Amino acid sequence: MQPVNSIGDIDALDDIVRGLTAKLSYPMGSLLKIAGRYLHNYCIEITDDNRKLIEESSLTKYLEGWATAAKVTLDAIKKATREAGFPVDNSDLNEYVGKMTVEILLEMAKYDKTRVFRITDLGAGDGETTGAVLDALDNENADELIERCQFTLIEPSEENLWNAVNNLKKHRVSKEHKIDITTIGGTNHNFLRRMRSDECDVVISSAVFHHMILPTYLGTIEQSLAADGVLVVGDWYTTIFRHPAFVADILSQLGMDTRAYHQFQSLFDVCDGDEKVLPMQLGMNSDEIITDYRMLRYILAIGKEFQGIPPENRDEFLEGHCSFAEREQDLKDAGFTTDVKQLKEEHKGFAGMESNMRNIDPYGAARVFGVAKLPSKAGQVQRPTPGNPKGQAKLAV
Amino acid sequence: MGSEDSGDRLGRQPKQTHTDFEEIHAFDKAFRAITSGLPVRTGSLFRVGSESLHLWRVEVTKENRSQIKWKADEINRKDFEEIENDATIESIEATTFITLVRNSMVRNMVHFATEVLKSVDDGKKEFHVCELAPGFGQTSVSLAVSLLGNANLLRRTHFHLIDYSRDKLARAEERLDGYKPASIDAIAMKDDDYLATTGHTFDIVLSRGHFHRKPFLKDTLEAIRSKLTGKGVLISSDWHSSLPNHPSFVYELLERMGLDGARLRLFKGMFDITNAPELSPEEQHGMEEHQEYWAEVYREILASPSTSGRKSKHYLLGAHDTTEKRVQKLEEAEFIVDPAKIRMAFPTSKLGRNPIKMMTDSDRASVIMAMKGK
Repeated sequence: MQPVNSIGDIDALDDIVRGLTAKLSYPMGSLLKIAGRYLHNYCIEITDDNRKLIEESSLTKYLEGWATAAKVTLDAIKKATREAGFPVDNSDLNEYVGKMTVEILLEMAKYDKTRVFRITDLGAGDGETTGAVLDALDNENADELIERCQFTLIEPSEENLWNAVNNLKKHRVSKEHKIDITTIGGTNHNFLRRMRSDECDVVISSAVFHHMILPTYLGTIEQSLAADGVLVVGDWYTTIFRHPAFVADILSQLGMDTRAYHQFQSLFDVCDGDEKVLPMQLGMNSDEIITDYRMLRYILAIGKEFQGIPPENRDEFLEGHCSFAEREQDLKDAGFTTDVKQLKEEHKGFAGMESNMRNIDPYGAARVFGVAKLPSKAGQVQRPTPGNPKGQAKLAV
Repeated sequence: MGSEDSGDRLGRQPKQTHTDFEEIHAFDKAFRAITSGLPVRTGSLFRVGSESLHLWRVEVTKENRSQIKWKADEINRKDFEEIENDATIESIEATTFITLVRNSMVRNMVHFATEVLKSVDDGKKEFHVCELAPGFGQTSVSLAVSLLGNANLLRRTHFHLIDYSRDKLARAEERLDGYKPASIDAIAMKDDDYLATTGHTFDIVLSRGHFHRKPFLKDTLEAIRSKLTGKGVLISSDWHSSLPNHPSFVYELLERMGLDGARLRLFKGMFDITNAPELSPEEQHGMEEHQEYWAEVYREILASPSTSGRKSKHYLLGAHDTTEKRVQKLEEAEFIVDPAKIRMAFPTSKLGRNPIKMMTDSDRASVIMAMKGK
């Protein structure tokens, strides 16, 4: 199939593909939930003209998907996570986002005894990531620092935000300290669009960025940070949605009927067995292969669980995951310094840190990564723009 | 045989207290019948902490102690079987807030455990960590992840997981195995039986959300202490509440749940629901939160089409106590809970307050570290 790039054609292709999997207990969902860097494998070409529309359309698809989630959905996903052999879950990501954030804050606070730290929690959910920061501050006995933190929680779900405020109000540190919390209802995209430069010192985010399919948001975050601003991101990394051959394998194992399966294969020029050859051709390492295999088990386990819940509460499986190396490259392209050696030398917050990447899964599927803007590089970064989406290598030396 | 006190100021006769096990058994049967058939029910009186049973008209004596304890254990085992056969029980009881607090408990337990191990580590020593009732192993896995970042400490740490459920143990073992600790010993057994028979001693014993299922907790605490190494610590977290510690608190809850008048009259007829003990503001708040929790679970079950038709059983009574009372039990079992003394034993560690109460102005949940001491 020839690549398509007009929104009309992309929507038509997406409708056809969604239709093929709609009857499965765990449908695929929209192609526009896949990381933009992989969309060319699905015959979708991103151009300067369609980029913004694709991003907006992707966001709408995600919001529609989240709206269907109920407790039964989350319970089924939780159970499947265990069955798939993932040893950790989002609460572990939160824990290490909290710990790394506090480790950095404590170092930064040593050098500036009066600085108030503006911390933005992107995709705050029920407030657990911010709660983990409070836990870590308390465990470090950082009483004085707690009072110098201002938290802003960004979350599209009003219900989640309401819960977050109530949960954090009950957090034990609020007995002795005034916790400064502001909540903003809305999507990360909308919030980031409104952000001005130097609006926060630290951005934290846990298990959220794999819902953002284009890396432009990283440039916006970088711009919104203070000159020595820090980003601590916890996320899941897998490349299972990189190629339609891998998705075809998932669909087959979810029980897709033969006719629909062959239609899917022919749309994307995929043959039986491609999923076995591609990992080698793509140069995937053993950790990536094992992670993708566990991800396959996870999706199949959810599919099995979803058979027991009402269709209207069933989620869809495509998401915007990428590999950790790809995320790191996106962060660099957005102007962040990711190299721990350089960070240790040039950023106060990282001075005592052995590693700015915490791998909390044995095969690297879940990691927490701390990166920063370096004041010395201010003004030198070519940020992503529509014409230069990666903001590539035009640094003024 | 029962015992009786003289009447109160208004001349009302107090209700008889039972000591004979057969009588207690029959009394408990009548009690359970009050909430029988409801999605949330009180469950047996044998779930209540032994120190509070007299308020429920059951007196623990030298003669009936072992029988009551046996019965409590049997109920615990049955609970496990019910949960094993009906996964919805745990998922319904794990509300969003409960899950968040539980995750925070894990973070604090892991912080304590990591600090203790780091402070006594000489780079060669092997450590033994035992988790009682680990479920799917969240706390041990989280500790393994934490130790992963500390030289080769994890490679020298042996994990011992003790749980009734073979299925959960298998999952916990699989999760933990990915991190390659020194060894994993997963044993399907009752915790007390394991403690009584194991030849191991432990540097750390972990227990999360489990002790409120132990009506004779002091026995377990003494057994744990006997299995700790010289500088060994017990790190536990639990849900606290005074709800089961007086019938009046449970009566209030049953009223809130909308129990019909006949059932409420039966309850009132069985117990003295006046003279509720005075609670501190934190304890009062914790007890009210516990009531609200069960009222919410009850409402959710009735409101949700996916759960209202099910026959899942949820029991609201447990051997809950207050944090203060728990500390007292630990100290009676000769543990050291004083944070200053614990810090002295682990001088390089970053250990703050102890116990850690998880919620502001409420004694609903806490994490407690207890050291064996001498």
